Formats: sequence, structure tokens, C-alpha cells
Amino acid sequence: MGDRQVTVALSAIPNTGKTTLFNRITGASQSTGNWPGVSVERKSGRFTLGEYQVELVDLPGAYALSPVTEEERVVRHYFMDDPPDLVLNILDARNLYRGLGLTLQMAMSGLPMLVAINMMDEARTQGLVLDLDALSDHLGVPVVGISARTGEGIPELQEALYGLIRHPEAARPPHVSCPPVLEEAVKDLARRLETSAGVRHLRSDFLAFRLLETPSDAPEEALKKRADVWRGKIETALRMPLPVACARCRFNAARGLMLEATHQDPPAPDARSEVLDRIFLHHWLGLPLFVVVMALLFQTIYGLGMPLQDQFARGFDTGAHGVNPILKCPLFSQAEMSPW
Amino acid sequence: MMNNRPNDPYWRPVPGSECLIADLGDENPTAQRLAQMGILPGTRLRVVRLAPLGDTLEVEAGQGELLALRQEELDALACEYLVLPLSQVEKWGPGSYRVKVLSGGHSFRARMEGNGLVAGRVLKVERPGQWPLAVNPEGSSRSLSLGRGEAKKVLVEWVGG
Ligand SMILES: Nc1nc2c(ncn2[C@@H]2O[C@H](COP(=O)(O)OP(=O)(O)O)[C@@H](O)[C@H]2O)c(=O)[nH]1
Ligand SMILES: [Mg+2]
Repeated sequence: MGDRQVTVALSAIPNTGKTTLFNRITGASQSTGNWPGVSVERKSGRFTLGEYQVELVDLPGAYALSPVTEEERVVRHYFMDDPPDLVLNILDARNLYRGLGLTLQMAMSGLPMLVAINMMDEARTQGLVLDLDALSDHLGVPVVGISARTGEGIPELQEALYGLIRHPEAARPPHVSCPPVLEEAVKDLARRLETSAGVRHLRSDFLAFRLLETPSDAPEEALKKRADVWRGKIETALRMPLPVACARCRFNAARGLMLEATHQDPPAPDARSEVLDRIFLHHWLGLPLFVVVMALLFQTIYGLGMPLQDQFARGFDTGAHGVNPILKCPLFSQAEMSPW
Repeated sequence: MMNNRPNDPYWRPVPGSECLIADLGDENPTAQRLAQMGILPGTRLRVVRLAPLGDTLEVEAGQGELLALRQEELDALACEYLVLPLSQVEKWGPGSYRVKVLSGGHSFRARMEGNGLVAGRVLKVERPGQWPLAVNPEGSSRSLSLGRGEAKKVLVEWVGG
């Protein structure tokens, strides 16, 4: 079992519960390192799903594939150079709008994708009702509601993931409509990209958007020139920087989707945390309160810790008596001197 | 781009102040970052609260999403103020203003409400920037005189000249 390798990338904007979900489904089998060349943490973990050995890569939290922050550059390069077999994208049920910008970009890549709507527990408390079927229809990918914190929906998520691994269906992303000049540019560049060599399993209009964002990444000089010209044309016609123009069409689509899939009034912050915020974030009361809480914490640690520490010390002393003769034997004294 | 930030360089937005993002600027990194988060020209921002040390603001954008912005970041966005304290409307000039929120304690609010100064009421202000400030709640014959400290706690939006 577990002999077939699949790489799944976990993607979401910051604070969506990516780490919580990652820990829940990979348990203890995690490893951490850095992404090549940058000080951004790279975390991956393994779990088995039927006959598959899944490597789950926790991508850094990024708002978009447009290279603005270092995290976004990492995610972008990962997608462009070494795309995963499958994308597991997470959205916050309480605020679909902000996360959908990235979801739409990812879906446009054409990679098989599964969307998990997290924080369903909180959404319910706030009286929000989500139409997951409508979301799934529009995004062209399966959608599952979960709570990474309580574990709700996790079996269903794993089942959906398993299904998608067995029958990897390319995402059928919605057409995100943009101003004519931008659409024309994407169509033109996509056509040219199709005839040039490159990554085959990413959709060409997805690649065309990336090319417009950074023409210098073009596989050939002629394409770079063309992308530069288009970019200039677009920025003049729309009188805004290209990344803003792209974000506009993405978020127009995101707003429409959110309004269709979320029922009830705009998400209200829940009353309890609002009350707590008012106290702990009070303009001048907040800091003194923080100091008091830290002092209490400090007291608790030492108050409880000291007696325990004495107990441990006694335990270690007793233990050391037993171990001492072993340490005195020649092998160990030598080991002590070796450089490590 | 019209910048209608109050003239006082030391003025800081207070909770309840609102502005409309007019233009993100070309090279402004905050603007670029906000655009990727879906906070685009046409989005209304409302200051919810100030952080304990003052330099960071909690801001509500559009559909109730909360975000933290530093004072300089907010200043760098061409954000056109729509709601300001009555103490800072000199630039908007004489005309009608609608009361949006009364901040301050219970007794202050009770006193203002007793004088017809309630949320939603339109006020005539003839000489903004002159203290004490004379305001005329619509539908009331009495004029009201506000000190600078009081005007600070009355957040208003511009209605017309
Ligand atoms: N109520 C609720 N909170 C959650 C859930 N998942 C994550 N959180 C909380 O959301 C916050 C951000 O989670 P984290 O996993 O660090 O997000 P990340 O930035 O995407 O890695 C943490 O305080 C979590 O405890 C959930 O399903 N329900
Ligand atoms: Mg995290």
C-alpha cells in the first residue's frame, strides 16, 4: 500500500486555517526546511489515502500569484516550475471574497483542484448559510465544507481528495471577464505560448497572465517584447498598473460569486470577540492589561514550576548515581572528547 | 487627485472616520498589496479602532472585512475622506453636514441629543474652522455652539453647499 506518489499543494491566503488543516491531516509526519534561496519556511507532510502516498506541501500564505511579496514569489515559482499534481485550496467561510481572488487564479491554471471551505463552525455561529453547490458549479471544481479546528467535514474532504486523485479532472474555471484590451492581450499571448515550448499541463491563458505580470520571465525574446508592448498598451488604455487591472477583474468575479454563495447580511464580527476586543484592544487600557496578563502568566509558571523543578532535580540526582559508572568506562570518555 | 485630508498635519483619523479609495497610485507598495487582497479603487474604508500605541489602525473595508494598516500606509493611499469629525471639516467649507456617529461618553451624547444633534440629522455649518463652532440642526430654530473638544466627537459627512 501507499506505493503511488502524489503531490498535493495546500494553498490559501493568510489566516484561513492552512496550518491547522495541515496538522490535522498529516499528524506527526512533517518535515520543515526552507524554499530555495529565500528565508520562507517550507513545510511538507505525508499521509496515505487508500493506495496513494500523498505528500502535502504547505505553501506560504499569499494573496495572489502576482509577485508582490516574497511569499507570493515562492508560490508563483512553485506553480510555474514544478507544479503539484493537485491543489487543495482553502477559503474562509466568513469571507469568501478576499480568498476567492487566489482561488480563481489557481483554478485558471487548469490543475485538478479541490476547494475546502473552512471555519464552517464559525460561519454557523454567525448565521451564515453557504451554497456550496453554487460555488462548485461556478468554480468548476469540487467544494467541501470543513472545520479544521473541530474536525468537521475532514473525512468527506479526504474522500473527495481520494476521488480527485483517482480521476484527476482538470479544473473548469469560470471565464473571468476583463476589459477588452486585456482580454485581447491574453488571447494573443496564449496563442503564441501554445506554439512555443514550455510547461504543457498549465493552461495557456493562465501562462499568458503570468507573462504579462513579468515579461522578463518569457521563454524567448520575441515573446518578452510582445508582452512588454501589450502591458504598455493595457496600462495606457486602462490608466492603472497591470496588476491592479488584473486584480479588478478577478475581484469583480469574486464579488459576484460571494454574493451568490453567501446568504444573510454581510458577515458581522461575533459579539463575544467584539466585546473582548473592546477591552483588550482599548486605546489606553490595552497595554496595561497585556502587562497584567503577562505578569500573571509569569507568576503561574514559576509558582507551579518551582516545586516541580525540585522534584525533578531530586529525580535526576538519583538517576545520575546509576549512570555514572557507565560514563566512566573508556568508550564513553573517548566519545566525550571527539569533536561532535 | 483632490486630497481632502484635514490641513492639520498632526491630525490622525479617529474611529468612525471613513474614506473612499480613489486611486491606488502606480508605485505604492501598500496599494499593490491591497489590490491583491481585493481592496481596490471604489472601496470604502472605515476606521474601527486605534491600536494601543497609536500607529496602527484597524480598518473595515467594503463588506465588513477587517484589516490592520499603519498610519503612513493609509496616508499614502489616495483615500478621499467622506466622514470626519466636525472639528476637521474646514476644507469642506460652509454647508450642510449629516451626523453619522456621536462618539464620547453617555453624558456627552445625552446632552447633544437633547439639543437635536442625533445620528442622521443634517446640520447647517456656516463657518467651519471658527471656534466656538455654530451649528444649526435642521428643523430646529436654535443654533448650537460647540467647542473644539465637543466637535471632535461628532462625526459627520458632507451633504452639500
Ligand atoms: N473557528 C475556527 N477557527 C479556526 C479553524 N481553523 C483554523 N482556525 C483558527 O484560525 C486561526 C488561523 O489558523 P492558521 O491555521 O494558523 O492559519 P494559516 O495562516 O492559514 O496557517 C487560528 O487561530 C486557528 O485556530 C476552524 O475551522 N474554525
Ligand atoms: Mg500558517
